[in-house]
Amino acid sequence: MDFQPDLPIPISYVSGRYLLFSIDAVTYLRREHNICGVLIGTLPQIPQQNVFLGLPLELMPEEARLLVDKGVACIVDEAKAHDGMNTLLEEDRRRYLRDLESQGLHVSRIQLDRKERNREQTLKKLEEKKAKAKAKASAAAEAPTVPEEGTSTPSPKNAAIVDLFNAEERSSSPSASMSTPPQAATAITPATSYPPLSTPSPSSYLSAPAVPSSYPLFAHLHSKGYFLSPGLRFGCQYVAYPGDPLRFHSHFLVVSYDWDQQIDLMDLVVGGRLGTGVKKGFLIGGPQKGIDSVDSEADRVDTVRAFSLEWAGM
Amino acid sequence: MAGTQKATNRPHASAITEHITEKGYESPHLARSAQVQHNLEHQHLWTSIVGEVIPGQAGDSNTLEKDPHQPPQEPIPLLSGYPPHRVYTHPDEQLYMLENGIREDDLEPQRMFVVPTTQGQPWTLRHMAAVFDRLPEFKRKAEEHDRSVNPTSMQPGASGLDPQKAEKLAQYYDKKEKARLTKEWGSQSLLLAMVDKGMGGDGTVAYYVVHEGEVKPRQN
Repeated sequence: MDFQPDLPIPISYVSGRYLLFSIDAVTYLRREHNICGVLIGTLPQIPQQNVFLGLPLELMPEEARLLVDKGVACIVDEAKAHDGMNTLLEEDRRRYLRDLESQGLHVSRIQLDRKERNREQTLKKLEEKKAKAKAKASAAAEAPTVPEEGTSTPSPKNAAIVDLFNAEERSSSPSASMSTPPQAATAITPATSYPPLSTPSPSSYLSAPAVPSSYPLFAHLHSKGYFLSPGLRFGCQYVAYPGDPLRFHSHFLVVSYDWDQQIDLMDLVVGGRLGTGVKKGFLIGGPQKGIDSVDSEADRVDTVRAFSLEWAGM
Repeated sequence: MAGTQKATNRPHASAITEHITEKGYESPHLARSAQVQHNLEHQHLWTSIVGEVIPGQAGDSNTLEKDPHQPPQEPIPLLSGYPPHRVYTHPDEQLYMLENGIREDDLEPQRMFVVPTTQGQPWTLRHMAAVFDRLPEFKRKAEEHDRSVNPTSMQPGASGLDPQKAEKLAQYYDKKEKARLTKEWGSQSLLLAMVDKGMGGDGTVAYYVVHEGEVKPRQN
């Protein structure tokens, strides 16, 4: 269950977006590094369906930067990395296709096994039911104090029904297993292209993503164990959850300011009021140092100060 | 004519304007402070209100940018007083009080600090940080002031309580002191009072609780 992917995890950079295509990487980052991202994959046939989205996972530049700074991930230019597809040898191509087919076979075998097991279980259950019904029927027959026809007739009838079904099942099950087609391989669509292509070399990694000025506050909250997600839905920059968003309600609506950036007090009222309205705090903050006065973003993260606001109710 | 005479008569200034001119608060931050103090005293029935001012830092903005710990250029007024009821209780503290059957009325009143602000005034994170950095100092000052004014008021009727309750309260204050150090019941907090000055102002003052750092919201 606790799958550990090879580090650094390659983050695909596609036309300005940071994407993850490997489900193992996605679960690993969520579990170990409190990075959730946003699933953006939908069905090509029904693109309007946006309730249940799947891979790929889009990361905010802040998330990608944080992972790169931690050494957990690297940025790979997806278009360049796939140049190799053209020069793929015919032999490699065939081997890859064969590989996919064998994986497909494996999957269909597992599915078949599961089906078989289910069938056996239901059969067993039916058997038990039948035995019970028989016992009941015999008990009813042995009880001569109840001479009424009404009570004794249903039991044998039921038993007969069960028998009938059973017989059918029994006759069908061997034939079914015998008539199993010679295993059509399940078609597999891999989400990543790393088996045919080699994993990208460190020399091809792109530089760390450029981040907005709110990055220090983002990294500061992340280092305190908060899960952060984009805040557009709540009218702020980030929404901070005290744990996995599937388990917790969020605590804060987060907006970042520079140290000497003018804050309109009306914005504080708006944020504070909105936050209180949705049972959250309104958190503002920022690094004390400007980007010009330090060597790296990491130095600014340590100087972040934050303040949380709530309506006083008076 | 009497009619025209009447028309040129100006209406009386509002109580708050009179109060401000009477006291001679000419600089805007003092006038602002006076308005909030007036509101706290008469609308929210606060008592023993004391005013302070964090002096502004003279100097050009270039030197300011170098040192993030320097206070801003503008002076910041600060008020403190005793609200009739507690304004803020941390959710975990509230839970503790519920579990131990401590009611808010049993507790000694707490001095609360208020920063009067108004729409359109310069306000930055630096202002906010400057206030919080000076808060412990002002707290100490206010405590001394309270002791000098009324040395007995800080011992809440310990004699009138039954021993069981007194013990629970003592435990609560122990826990409170510990929580203050670990910050599990929240860190320093104050009230941000915002005065509406637009269109002449309608006398509204909005109050928001501000905590230093990440303090979880009361209802979540």
